[in-house]
Amino acid sequence: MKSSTENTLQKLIIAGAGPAGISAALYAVRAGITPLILYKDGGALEKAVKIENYYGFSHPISGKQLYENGLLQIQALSVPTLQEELLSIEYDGDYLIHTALHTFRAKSVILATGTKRNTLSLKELKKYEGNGISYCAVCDGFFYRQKEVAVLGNGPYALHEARVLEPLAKKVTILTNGSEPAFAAEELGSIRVEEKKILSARGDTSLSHLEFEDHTLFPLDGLFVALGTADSTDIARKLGLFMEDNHILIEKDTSTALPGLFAAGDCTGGLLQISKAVYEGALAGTKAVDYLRKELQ
Amino acid sequence: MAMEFTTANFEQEVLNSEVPVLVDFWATWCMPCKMLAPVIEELAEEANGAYKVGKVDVDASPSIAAQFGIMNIPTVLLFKNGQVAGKSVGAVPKEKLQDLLR
Repeated sequence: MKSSTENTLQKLIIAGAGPAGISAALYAVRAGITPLILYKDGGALEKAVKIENYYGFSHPISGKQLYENGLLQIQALSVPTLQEELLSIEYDGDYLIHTALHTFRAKSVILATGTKRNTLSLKELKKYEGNGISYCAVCDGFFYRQKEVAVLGNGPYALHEARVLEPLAKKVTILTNGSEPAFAAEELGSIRVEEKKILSARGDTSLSHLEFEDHTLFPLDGLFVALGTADSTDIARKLGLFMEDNHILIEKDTSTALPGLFAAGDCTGGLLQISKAVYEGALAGTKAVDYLRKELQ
Repeated sequence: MAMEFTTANFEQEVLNSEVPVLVDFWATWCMPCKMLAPVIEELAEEANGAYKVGKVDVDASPSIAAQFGIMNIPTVLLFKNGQVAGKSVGAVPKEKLQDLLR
């Protein structure tokens, strides 16, 4: 792993700067705790052309504008924001939050980095789940010692997963499925990269080959899915939070099974709407402050 | 308490069991396994002889994990009459595992 600096202990880190993350920060800062916001981009919101069904906008606003307004609003309150892609979170009593450049330690975390809308449409992925397809290198890498594995993705998150597998597996290949690699080639070490587009996944009971669009076959023992960025559900799965249909199961107050960890917005399922993200964010921000007040007493 | 299954007792306790057996494949270094552990313990407490609940440490008994094609942890397998009758992958709420037993 690349060396990373471990910053001083933060009280609260909010991952995500969409409606849920920013609302959480607004309520936390009003309640007296200034969070640190880590974010990548505006996600699904940024791509929405017009927001027409959110309270108070008589003229539709673009998702991009609303997202930028949210960032400006929180920055005006002197809340620090850092545009760094989140890679993973570990829990050892505190939360260790890894980005590509830093590791932060925090007492409480609010996960609000949304959900992936465009997961790969290979229907075979589902078929081989648990039989050669994995979503967690740190959990399942163990079963692929001295085997040939591939990581599906093209960003720093895919590289992160490949690096976890590198010391275990015989061969690790990152499959970008037609996309340009978005990581530095000098960081690859022994990891190979294949950019061909994938057509299908094959195998009897477990995955054994991928077929590329040019009909060449790629033999492998395991495929680790690490598309795009590590979203809240990728991170939650590795922490062992209960999941259902790719959503994090939260309590009514947005808390999870881990103390001080809250989740809000699209990652908790239900309506993928700004209104719901704002509500859950507000609640998560409030509850995280309640939690910290008790913890820090 | 959930039982500990190893290569020494797996056949007798699981494959030859008269009642269904829920087997949790786990490892000490696996965070999702730690989160699932209290759920497994609760199910063991509530079994009342209707079923058995136990755990296989995949580091200690890799051959059992290999025999049943375990490639992800935590994985919970339900055995009935020596056969795999259900499977659940990942940390899941108790209700999901109770559904397996039904």
